[in-house]
Amino acid sequence: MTAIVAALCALAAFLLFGFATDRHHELRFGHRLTRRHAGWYRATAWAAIAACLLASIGAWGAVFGPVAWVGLIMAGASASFLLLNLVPEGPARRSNHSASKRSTNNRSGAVIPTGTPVCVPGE
Amino acid sequence: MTRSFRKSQSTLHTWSGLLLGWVLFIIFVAGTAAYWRDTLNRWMRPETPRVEQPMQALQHAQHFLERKAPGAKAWFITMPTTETPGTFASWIPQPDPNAPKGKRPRRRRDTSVLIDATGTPVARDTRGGDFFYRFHFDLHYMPILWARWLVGVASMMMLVAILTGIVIHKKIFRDFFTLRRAKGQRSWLDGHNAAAVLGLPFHLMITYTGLVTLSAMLMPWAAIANYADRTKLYASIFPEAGDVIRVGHDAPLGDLSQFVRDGERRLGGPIGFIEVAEPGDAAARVIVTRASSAGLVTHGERIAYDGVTGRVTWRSPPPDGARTTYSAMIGVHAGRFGDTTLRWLYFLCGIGGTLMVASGLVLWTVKRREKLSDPTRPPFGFHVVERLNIAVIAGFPFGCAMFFWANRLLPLAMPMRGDREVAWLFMAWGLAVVLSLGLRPRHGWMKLLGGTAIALFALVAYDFVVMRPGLGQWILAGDWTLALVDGVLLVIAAALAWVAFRVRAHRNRPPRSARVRAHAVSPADEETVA
Repeated sequence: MTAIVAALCALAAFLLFGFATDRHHELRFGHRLTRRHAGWYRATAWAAIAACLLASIGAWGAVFGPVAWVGLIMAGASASFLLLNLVPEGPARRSNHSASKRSTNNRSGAVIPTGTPVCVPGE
Repeated sequence: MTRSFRKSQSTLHTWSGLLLGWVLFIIFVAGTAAYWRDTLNRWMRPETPRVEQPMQALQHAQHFLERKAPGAKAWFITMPTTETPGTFASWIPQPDPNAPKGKRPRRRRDTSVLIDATGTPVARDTRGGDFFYRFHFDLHYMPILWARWLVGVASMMMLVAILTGIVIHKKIFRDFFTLRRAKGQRSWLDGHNAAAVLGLPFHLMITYTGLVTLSAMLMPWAAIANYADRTKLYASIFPEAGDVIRVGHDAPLGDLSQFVRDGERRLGGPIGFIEVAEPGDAAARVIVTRASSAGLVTHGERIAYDGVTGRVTWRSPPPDGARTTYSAMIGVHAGRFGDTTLRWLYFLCGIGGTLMVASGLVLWTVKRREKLSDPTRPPFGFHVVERLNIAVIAGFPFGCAMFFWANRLLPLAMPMRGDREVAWLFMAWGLAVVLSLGLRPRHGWMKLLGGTAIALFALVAYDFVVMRPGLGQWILAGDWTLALVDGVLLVIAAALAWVAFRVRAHRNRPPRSARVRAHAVSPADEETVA
């Protein structure tokens, strides 16, 4: 049971780290993240990592607990990575996101016909 | 950090990762499989009954040895557990004083046996999961010393690749969750970075501790400086209880399970190994060694008993700091202490490492293909890397699938059956190499990855329908460990099939130079130029 709590803490921590990034927050919640909120997300994520260590020691003891903790952190990070990147966003979010993407790409609102060569710096 | 420094690290990363990358890939695959060594040992002997009572299985093994090798010089017994297929035992016969000098010693298979939980020798001769364990650092078909040097050098290059990889990864935290899909080289780089960064603590740990396991060979200077006589070195690393002189009076050997119980109590952990010197003689001695699964520190503490009276005659001295550190590092590397959850974490990290090496090798070609002036006639070096990638990344798993098939199909009575299974692996891998050279790269990837996927799907189906027990029977019997092996094989098969389909659907993008030209010259302009 404690092991499951530890695993959930690791997953939660990295989901929170993911949601603290502009891209994934906007993609999932449809709005931009303020700097203050991002700070809260990160602080909670660090707290979850600490809780994961305590739960790991509770489940596996003082010798194997830290080993399990590092393993769970990697597993939590990998699972979050896959969830954030591979789970499709809902239709409402998608339209929100594409709208915001459009506005980011073309803030002037001018219509750029497709097929027109666009100069991209660095290419 | 200057640009030129990062550039130099980038070059080092590319070449240290590439040159022995194929060796690293097979080391990673074998090492990852070896985390399930005991499980695979059972899965590759599917008809063997489960060991429910290890002590009872040990007693059966003792009775077997008393019948089979009553007057042997020594018995060696690996303590059975509920995870193992039975009791591995071997013996050394008494030396024959009349035998001519220089005569070859008996073959190992004549003096070793696996005894199942009921006391019957297991008929299915196979290397099982032990093959992957040994192959991980001893490779095959080559002298062990050469193999270990090769593995050691590959590991050093891996360590260099990891450290330089950290230096050249500019946005390790900002790009932590970034995966840009369907963007060619960018996607490969994101995938390679994800596999590397997400499992970075494991990759660093496993490479460093892997080097530590070979440290006495790779860096012998400390031993040379401190020990003029190598036997003294070995005596201090592996303290021995001394030789046993046979007295020639028969005396019944005590019940080995009693020695094990006493050893567990005194050493504070499960016993992994039992040695019996001069069994059946009045001078018989039993030594029990603590199991490496007992703790992070894997050095085996040992206790020697008088085999007849059960009196403790010797106990290994406590290890010094250096030996404790060394064996703790080996313990972290092998993860034998781990329960099922930890073992899964190790396994998943191993998969991550395998994907990191494979994606790095493929990335080398993806990156260079973009820059080829004429993709139909790439340079020779590009050809070599591209074909070797197919031969190893797609070919070795194909060989492993055939190894499992050989385990199921070869007749049980076949002489040297275990070696034949391994030969199947290498023959199939050889065929994969030929295919990778003969087929166009896209077809090579597709056919080998698809073939491996089909072979693995078919293997699970064969077990279920023909072999019995298979997946369904294991689930019904509640043997989730073996059911999970089939489950993992199905997941691997599905993943390989998915990659094969993606390769099939893939169309090569024109090289960057062509794309730039196409951008620079619009269709209307092209007509004018023409």
